[in-house]
Amino acid sequence: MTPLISETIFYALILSSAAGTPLLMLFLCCTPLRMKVMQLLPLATVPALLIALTVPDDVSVGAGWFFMSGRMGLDGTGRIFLILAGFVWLLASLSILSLFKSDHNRTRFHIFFLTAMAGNFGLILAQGMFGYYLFFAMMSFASYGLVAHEGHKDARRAGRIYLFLVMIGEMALFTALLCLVQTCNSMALSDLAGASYHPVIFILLFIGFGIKIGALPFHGWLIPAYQNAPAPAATALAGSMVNAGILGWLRFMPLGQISYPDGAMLFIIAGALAAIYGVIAGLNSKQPGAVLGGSSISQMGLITVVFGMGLLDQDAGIYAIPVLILYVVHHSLAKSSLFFAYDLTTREGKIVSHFQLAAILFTALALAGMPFTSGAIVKTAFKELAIHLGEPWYGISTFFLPLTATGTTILMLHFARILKNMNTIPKSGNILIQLVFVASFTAVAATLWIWPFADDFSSHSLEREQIFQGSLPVAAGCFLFFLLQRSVLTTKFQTGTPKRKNLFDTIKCLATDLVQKKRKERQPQNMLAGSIYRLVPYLRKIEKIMGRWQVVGLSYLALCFCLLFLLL
Amino acid sequence: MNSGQLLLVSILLSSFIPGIIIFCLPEEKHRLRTLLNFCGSIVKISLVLVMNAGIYYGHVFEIRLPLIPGVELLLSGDPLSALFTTLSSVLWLLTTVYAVGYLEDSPNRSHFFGYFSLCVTVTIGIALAGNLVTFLLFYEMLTLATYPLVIHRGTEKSLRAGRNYLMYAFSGGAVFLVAVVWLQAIVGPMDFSASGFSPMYLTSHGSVLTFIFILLIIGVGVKAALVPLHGWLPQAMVAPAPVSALLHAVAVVKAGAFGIVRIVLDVYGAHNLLLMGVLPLLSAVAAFTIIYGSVLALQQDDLKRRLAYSTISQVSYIALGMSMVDQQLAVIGGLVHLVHQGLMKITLFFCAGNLAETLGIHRISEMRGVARRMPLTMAAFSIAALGMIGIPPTVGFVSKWYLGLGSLAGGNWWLLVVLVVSSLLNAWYFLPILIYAWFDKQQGPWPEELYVGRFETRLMLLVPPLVTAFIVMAAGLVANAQISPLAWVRFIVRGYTL
Repeated sequence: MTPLISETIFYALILSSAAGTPLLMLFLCCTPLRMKVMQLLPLATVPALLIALTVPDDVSVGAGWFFMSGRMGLDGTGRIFLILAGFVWLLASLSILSLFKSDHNRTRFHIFFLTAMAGNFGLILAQGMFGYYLFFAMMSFASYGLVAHEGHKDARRAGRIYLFLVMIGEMALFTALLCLVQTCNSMALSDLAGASYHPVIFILLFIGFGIKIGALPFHGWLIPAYQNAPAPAATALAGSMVNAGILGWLRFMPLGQISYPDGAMLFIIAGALAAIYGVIAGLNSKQPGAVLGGSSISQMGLITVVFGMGLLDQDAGIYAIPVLILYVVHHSLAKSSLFFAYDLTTREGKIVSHFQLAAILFTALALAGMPFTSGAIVKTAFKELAIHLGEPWYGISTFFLPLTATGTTILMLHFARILKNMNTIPKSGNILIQLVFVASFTAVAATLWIWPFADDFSSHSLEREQIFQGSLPVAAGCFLFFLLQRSVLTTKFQTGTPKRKNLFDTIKCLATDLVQKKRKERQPQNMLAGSIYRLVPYLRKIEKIMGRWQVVGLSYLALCFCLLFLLL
Repeated sequence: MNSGQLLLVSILLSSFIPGIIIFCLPEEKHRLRTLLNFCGSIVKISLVLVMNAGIYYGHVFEIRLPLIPGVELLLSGDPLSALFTTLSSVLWLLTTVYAVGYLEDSPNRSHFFGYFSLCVTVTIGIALAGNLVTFLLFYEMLTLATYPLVIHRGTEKSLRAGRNYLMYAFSGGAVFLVAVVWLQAIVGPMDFSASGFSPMYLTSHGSVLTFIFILLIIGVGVKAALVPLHGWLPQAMVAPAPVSALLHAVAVVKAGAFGIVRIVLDVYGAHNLLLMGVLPLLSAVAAFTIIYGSVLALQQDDLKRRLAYSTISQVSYIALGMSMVDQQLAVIGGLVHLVHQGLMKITLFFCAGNLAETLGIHRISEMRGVARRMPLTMAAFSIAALGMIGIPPTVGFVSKWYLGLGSLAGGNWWLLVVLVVSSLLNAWYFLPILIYAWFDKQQGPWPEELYVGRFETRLMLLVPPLVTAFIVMAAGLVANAQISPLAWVRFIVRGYTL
């Protein structure tokens, strides 16, 4: 499809209002109008939704003067992502409305929330590399404010890990962008089609966007962040912001237009490991946010595998795109619905009705691919992709998919049980969050069935064979869950989330050694920290010596003698 | 004297005359003093804009003054001098506003503002210098003009810092003098020109010219704070905040960096330097300074000292860009960083001064929760800090981008690594400050709450950092437009064959 370049001011204004409305509201939050603005929070998502539903394809508006030359517009993929993002952010904003009544830092939270929202909408509409990078950075850095909002020690630690990985991701993307612009001599994303990438670019793009989705080994921020962010923020993170990473991969490595078999293996292996690791990590905690975080790592791992399969060759890429999009939509809707369920249960103190429990179980098992859910449609699509690719992928998937489905079932039942066992003091004013939950559940149950885009896969998923293949893992998972429950889960995982000593903590100790002056008593954590720790006092001494003017004078005299000697 | 020459002289006099008058004013006449300062800077900015328009359309501005046979004073306006002149004038206006607010009720303001004006006059002289001798002359006068500003407070610490500064600056100046004289002895009297001196001198005096280049870089490197010549800078932080802002954003450090630019582009020229093979040495020194400055910044708890080491690190980006002089993109990055770093650093120093003047905060550990008390100041600080790290859409990203593109184009992978590591280190020492301010709770009362009023601090202290922070964002958002610093830098680079 060749984009129609219509650079009228009209479309420029319309498209800018997607990211512009949250930014305007953010600006108003800094003025005395803030109370009114915070009450009108969901309005910020309306322009984006309207744009996604009404603006035609092939609208593309460029501004040579914006930043480093920018272009924005909507294409098929962008439209789907924008509707999804608009929907999730709308529901999340609605659920904020009755929260934070007694929170001193309410304004600060709203400012970061709106900035992240603006970044999310902006990057979906971006058609230039710089635009995408700009809004991606905006979203990532603003999310720090959401993760660290609650201010207690765990939230701060989660924020630090998050920020550390965000910086790594930003630098990886910066370098990747430099290489890409140099290779393709252009800053438009559409010009990336057919280019041949250096392997380094693939790795950098994998790291840069992979951090956002929690790809191994850069997943360390995800579980602490989902655990410690306030529920609406965690919903936005899990249901929408994580998709920015997938969209980034799609835009910068256009499937169906480039192929890289070796890089594909990286994605597939990393994704497979993440799919398994996520389940284990989620099971390791009794905090619902952390469990859902583990599930996100796992599901995103599966999406990574699909992306990897799409990179194998151009034909596979064309086939993989719809599977990818369906998976993203299904996961976002289901994950945000589960977060809303968690929020609702917390606010009501416990699960109040059987319908609620049934809805939660339905959504949870949809993630596992239970028949008649959107998950089944997606799993069918995955299988058909594997069939299309032939051996060995088909063989591996017949073993791998049921394995992950079983694991996800166990994890989701674990989640449901935690919610069922919750019994705390209810809060008031829960009508809105109830409505939000109903809306999100409806979306999960209905969307993929009524969406024409998924017609093929949805009809195939209703075949008897598919139903049978889908129910087996779920049944096995239920069985294993009840077994495990009696023995292991109650004893080993009683303690909640252990504080893992990961790579980040080592680096943080290193940095603290460098930074603090009185460190004589502290033992260095390892060899590297020890050697740098020994070096630091020398550096300080050298600095002090260089500061004395006698040293300067003497070196100057020495230089003079040298010159004299040379002249003579 | 034609109109062009009159223009150049007026630009210099527009701060010189107010300076002399202010010296003669009695201490109490602060309204007259402020009026003189503002009039002077507004006149200067208008004249500079006129000159820029003239340069853009190809007018020639030149004044020659023969001193002794073979040595003449030359002031000329070319696109590069226009860049530095505009930066200095605009930032001088803002610093004047800030200084008036900062030094309210301080003693010896007449002397301070007198030397202040002299300082800017001399900086404009450096910018407009058309040959090395003129440059050297104004360069040395800059030391003399800024010394009284450094020791303004008169305390033991200030005097020591001032003495240190003089030692460094005069040593550097002497080395510079030797190098200039030696160079002139070899290539003859030479104006700044886009191609440097003739390559034939390289065949006869190759190694001597290399040595002279090193001496010249040492000479300007003192002011530009290249490691190991940077020792004076952190100690000079004892001066009042407007002086630090001036030293680190406008006058001294930028003059040193500007010197490096002139020497590389206009004295030696790109072709000669490539033949001499001395550029990797400059790259290495610049790269080392970048990393060294950042690592030492991590260790400082005093806010201004951390900013001082950050300056040492960031100014070397300009040297780094110049060392890749065969890559047009890298030169663009280095030159535009001259402007961008000035804007960002001055914002940071203004904010640091605000914190000190309003709440008595000098250390980062005292900054917990300060954003609740001074949100606008911290907002400006945050924008500038994000710019230092290189996050879009601030101007800091734009300079890093061009430097990165230049390194890649020239195949210098390791310089790109240096840039990335530097960004990470910048994040490491700037982000915690932002987190302390915005996310922590205030721990006990402020050290010294010196101001409580309608706004968070005196308006004259609040407005300048807000203006510069706005420019940091705006100039980044319209970086590709016709009127951004980047556009002017592209215009400059067009005049050189790189």
